[in-house]
Amino acid sequence: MTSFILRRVLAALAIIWAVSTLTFVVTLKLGDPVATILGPRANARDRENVRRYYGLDQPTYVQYARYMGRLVKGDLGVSYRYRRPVSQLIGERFPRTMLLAVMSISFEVIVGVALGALAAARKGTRTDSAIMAGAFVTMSLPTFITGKVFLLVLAYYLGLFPIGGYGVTWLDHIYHAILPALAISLLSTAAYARLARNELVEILQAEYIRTARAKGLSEGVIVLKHALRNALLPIVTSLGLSFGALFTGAIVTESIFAWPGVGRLAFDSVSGLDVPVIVGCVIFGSFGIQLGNLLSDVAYAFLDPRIRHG
Amino acid sequence: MRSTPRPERALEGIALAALAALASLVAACRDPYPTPRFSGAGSTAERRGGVLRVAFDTDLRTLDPAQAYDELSTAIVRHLNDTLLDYDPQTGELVPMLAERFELGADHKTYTFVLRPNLVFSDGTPLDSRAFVRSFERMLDPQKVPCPGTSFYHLIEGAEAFGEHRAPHVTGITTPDARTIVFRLTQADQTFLNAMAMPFSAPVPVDYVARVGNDEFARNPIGVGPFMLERWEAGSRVVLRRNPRYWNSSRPLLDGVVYELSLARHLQFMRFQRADLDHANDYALTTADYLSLTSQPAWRPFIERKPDIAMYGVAINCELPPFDNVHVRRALSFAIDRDAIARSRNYRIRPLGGLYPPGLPGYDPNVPGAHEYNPDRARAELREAGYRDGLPGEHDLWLTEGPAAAVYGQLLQADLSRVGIRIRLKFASFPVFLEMTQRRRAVALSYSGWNMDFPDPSNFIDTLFHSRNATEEHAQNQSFYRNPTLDALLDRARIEPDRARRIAMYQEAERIVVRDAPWAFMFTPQRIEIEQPYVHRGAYSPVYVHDQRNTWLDLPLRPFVQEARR
Repeated sequence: MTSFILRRVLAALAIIWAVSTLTFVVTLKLGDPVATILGPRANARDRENVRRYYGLDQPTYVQYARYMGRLVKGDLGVSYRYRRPVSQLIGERFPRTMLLAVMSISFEVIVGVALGALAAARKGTRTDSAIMAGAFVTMSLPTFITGKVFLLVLAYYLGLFPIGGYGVTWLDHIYHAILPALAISLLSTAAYARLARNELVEILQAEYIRTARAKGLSEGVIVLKHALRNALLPIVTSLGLSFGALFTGAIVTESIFAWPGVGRLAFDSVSGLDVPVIVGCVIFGSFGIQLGNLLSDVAYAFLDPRIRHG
Repeated sequence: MRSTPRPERALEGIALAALAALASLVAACRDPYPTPRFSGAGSTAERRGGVLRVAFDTDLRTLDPAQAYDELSTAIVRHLNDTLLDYDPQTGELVPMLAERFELGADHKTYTFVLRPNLVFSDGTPLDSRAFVRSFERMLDPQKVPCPGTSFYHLIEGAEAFGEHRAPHVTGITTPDARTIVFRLTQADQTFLNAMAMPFSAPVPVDYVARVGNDEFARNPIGVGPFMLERWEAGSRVVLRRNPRYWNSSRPLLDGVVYELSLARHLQFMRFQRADLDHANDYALTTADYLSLTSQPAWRPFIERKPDIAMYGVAINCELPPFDNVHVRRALSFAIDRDAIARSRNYRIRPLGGLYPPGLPGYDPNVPGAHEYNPDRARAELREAGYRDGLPGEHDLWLTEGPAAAVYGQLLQADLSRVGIRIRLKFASFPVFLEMTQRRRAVALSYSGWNMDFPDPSNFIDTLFHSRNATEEHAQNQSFYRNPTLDALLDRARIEPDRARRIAMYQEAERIVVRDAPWAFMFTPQRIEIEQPYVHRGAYSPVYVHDQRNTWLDLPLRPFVQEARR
């Protein structure tokens, strides 16, 4: 198991290095960062001073070497736009992104699996049809549509929720996070519902379930205790990937709801050509995805011995 | 084998979901806020108290006055800091602020400012002339802080040597006593006083900055302005509260201001209608929002239009053929239907045929040869340039990314094609746009604009058309227009002490630029402000339009009734 984890960690580090290098190269082609730092009206001397201040007057390979050198030490550099360490900027926004991620993942897993289990238990009935049709429709709706509809109907017209933003106290933060979390989770909830249903339908036809039924166990106990446990295996895998993806924040959702998380930071940094923040967010995101993958691989290996022996 | 629901049942579910969505939409069709929600108490006299809530769709970059140059940073920095001079909200003239008085020497190169007595920063640190000069030198020192505005002060004697670390201090700034500061310039410059009203020059407590560092200071600044920072929640909110040590005991009238950050335009407008925000401006309005608001009679009295002192148009590169030919440039300008463009923006912009927008000293509504829509003349100009069947080939028009620029680009494309000038729209991010359009011989046409730094014609014409600004890289003279006659006229105007004569010189300079058409001037924006009925903005700065020093709230609130119209 240890060598399995070690192999995965090394692979993850290689991927993070490749992603950070690629991002560094791409950002070189995006324009002159001095324009971002000083704006259009600075004179040539000010521009040169800033170029020197940030080491932008150095050849590209020197800039890259310095960048990687700092990165190895965990230093993501200083934002051109905010003139603060990138790690600080990400650090202060990360808890907000995590709040959104935890809320949306909780919602999608609990509601998705519950709906899937219900549909499987009532296979072939109107309930099954309605849940699966609803999932089908929901999966076709992009977040930038559902997010705006939620805002318009639930926040603006009905006044049930705040109109975007982050709030002031912790409870307020949670209240503000409900709509964006719902918008993020809608698509995955539908996916989990379909996944859970299909897995359960298959498992419910297995020999050991038939044996349980023959023993006289109730349908609820059979579904929840015997079938659902096995059906969770693919869901755990997907969960790891979802978690990783949400690490960088949901860029679209955070922008729609003015949620000041890592996603919004990434969005702003791209439009403002804040190269250190762009690269920082990409590295942070790839770290999150690798972590999510690793966790799901490890969890899978724990749950299914065939994986770790393979 | 996996089972799937029967198709008819799936369809049944889809139909139900569609019906539910339709019902929601029908319910959503009624606007819940056709009128404002609250009125004020009915007071007509200024009142103290209350917290104003405003929003911006961008994030805050810095609160260091030496570094703030974008709209949001400047707006907040202006509330935390004062400068030696300010603009009179009524007349637009420069008036003393931190300075009690100021005078210009007989040589027109020496300015003497006398500070008000007993000035202190919001933490109680005294501000005297020496503290002011230390702060000023910090701003001019590129190793201390990367200030984007040092060029406004480059005529101060010794400023360049100091900036290049060839001198320990700026020789042209002296402090004869604790309240007097004397600036000596290397040559007369009538815009120097404008520069002293810019936030870059605002004093900061240098010892505090040295103690906490630039980065921390930019997050937790201390200033001498009417408000002080209460908290800054990154990416989310900035809260200011009244500075109890402010030198002007009658200002501000508000207890505080809350700035919501990074709040998208559609959210700002929803919040404003729900009375979660007290003020909105045209930046918070999409076209749909604007039309919705203006169609509701109850809201109309609270909408205010003011000219924004800015100019937009097409910068034409005078070095690149065929645009090095003045007739081609004129043809391009005469082909633009400015009224149609204004109509497409619901008249939130006004057609502009010259360089100076209304509100700027020197503005002449009847500037001779003003650019106007005249396709026949455009074709005639093309013929005169030797192009009987229009310009050959397609020409790139560079624009920054964004919905408004896309609209203008398409309208320009249609207008120009009618006279035989075919253009291709080339969208770029703002940094790339700047890099390319400010580089010599790189871009032929670009949709661009200029917002004033201060209300003086030199800020437009000197910056955009003086040949010293047509540099190889980072040229502010984006059209790379060079005219020695114009340069000489501008150089004379810059030092001319007689205001009327000076303005006349700038008007003459405008006529030259209009005649030679290095830009096709298009429009000037209208600034649209909308306030809740209980908000009274009072007079505000003509330059710093987010100024809330004189704003007051008519509290307590009561439910809005139609009679509450102003």
